[in-house]
Amino acid sequence: MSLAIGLGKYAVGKDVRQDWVIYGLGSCIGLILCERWEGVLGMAHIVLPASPEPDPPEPARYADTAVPFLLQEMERLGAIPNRIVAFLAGGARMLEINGAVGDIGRRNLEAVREELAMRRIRVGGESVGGTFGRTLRWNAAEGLAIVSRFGAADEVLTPVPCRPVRPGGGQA
Amino acid sequence: MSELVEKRFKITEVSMTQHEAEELPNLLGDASTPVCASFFQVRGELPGFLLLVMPVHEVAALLEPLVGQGEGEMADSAIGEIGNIVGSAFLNHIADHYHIYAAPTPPQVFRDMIGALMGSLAAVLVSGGKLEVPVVRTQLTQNEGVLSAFLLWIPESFSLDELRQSK
Repeated sequence: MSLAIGLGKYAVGKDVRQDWVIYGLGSCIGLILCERWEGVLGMAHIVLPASPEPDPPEPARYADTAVPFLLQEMERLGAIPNRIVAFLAGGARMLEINGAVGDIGRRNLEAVREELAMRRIRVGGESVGGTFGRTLRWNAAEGLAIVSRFGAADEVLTPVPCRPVRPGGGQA
Repeated sequence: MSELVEKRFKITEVSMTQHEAEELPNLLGDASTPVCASFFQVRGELPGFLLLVMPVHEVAALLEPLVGQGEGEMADSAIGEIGNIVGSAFLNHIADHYHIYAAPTPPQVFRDMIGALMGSLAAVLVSGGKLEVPVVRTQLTQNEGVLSAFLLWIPESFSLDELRQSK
C-alpha cells in the first residue's frame, strides 16, 4: 500500500520501506529530497510559489516554506544537507485562466529551483513543464523516483538508484 | 446534446457541498483516473468555474458512433461542443434562477488525470484566498442507464449558505 501525499502535504522518513506517491500533479510541484548516506527521504506536494505569511500552518503548501521546512525535518532525522539530492516533477500549465494568477506552474517551478539553489541542493532529475499531468512515485524497494503520464511511458528521474550507501544504513 | 449523440440525456442528482480547495483532486474518486473534460471559466455576475468530466472509456463509447473515433482532434472538438451545450444549458438555468448574467469562456478540452486538472484549479482558488469552495455537482444520465459524467460548478463569489438560501 502506497502513501498518497495530497495537496500541500508532506512526508519525511528514515529507512522508508513504503512507496510514496503524488497523484495527478498539474501546476503543483512534487519534490523529493533524498539523502542516501543516512537513508533519509522527504517528499512534498507544493501548490503555490510563495506563502502569504512567514510561518504558515501548512508549510509544504508553498515553495518558499516547503523547501526549508522539509530540509529541517530531514536534518532532525540525521540527514546531512550537502548530501541531499532533489528530484522534481510537475509545474505544468494546465489551465488558461483570465486574470492575475498567471502561469502558476512556471512560477512554482522557478520558486522551488530558487529555494534549492539558495541552499546548494543539487537537482538530480526532473520532469517539468508542458501542458499535461504527472504522477510522481517514490519506489522504495528500488530507490527510484518514477514519473507516470497518461498515454506515455514511465520516466525514471533518478540516474542511479537512491539507496543507502552507508554500511549498516537502512533502505531508503 | 441529445440530438448530437442521438441519445436522451438528463441532469439528475444535483448536490451542493462545501470542500476545502485541496480536496478537489479526489472529489470524483481516484486523482489518477484518466478523464476527458471540458473546462470553462464563468464570467459575469457569477464568476467561477464549470467542468464537464467524463471517464475516458465512456467518452470513446459515446463519441465513436458520432465522429467515428473516441480520441483525436475530431473527438476533442466534439467533447468541447458537448461541454458547451451542457454547460450553457446549466448556466442559463442558474442565470434565470438568480436573475443574473453569467457567460462561459470557450471550452478548454483535457484528456488527462482528473487530479492534474482539479489540483491546478485548486491552486488557482487558493492563490485567490479561497481555501474552501462550494461545489454544485450533477450526474448526467442517458436513456440506456447512468453515464459516469459529472458537471461541476464552482462559484467563486457565492457561499454554500447563499446558494442554499436561494434554492
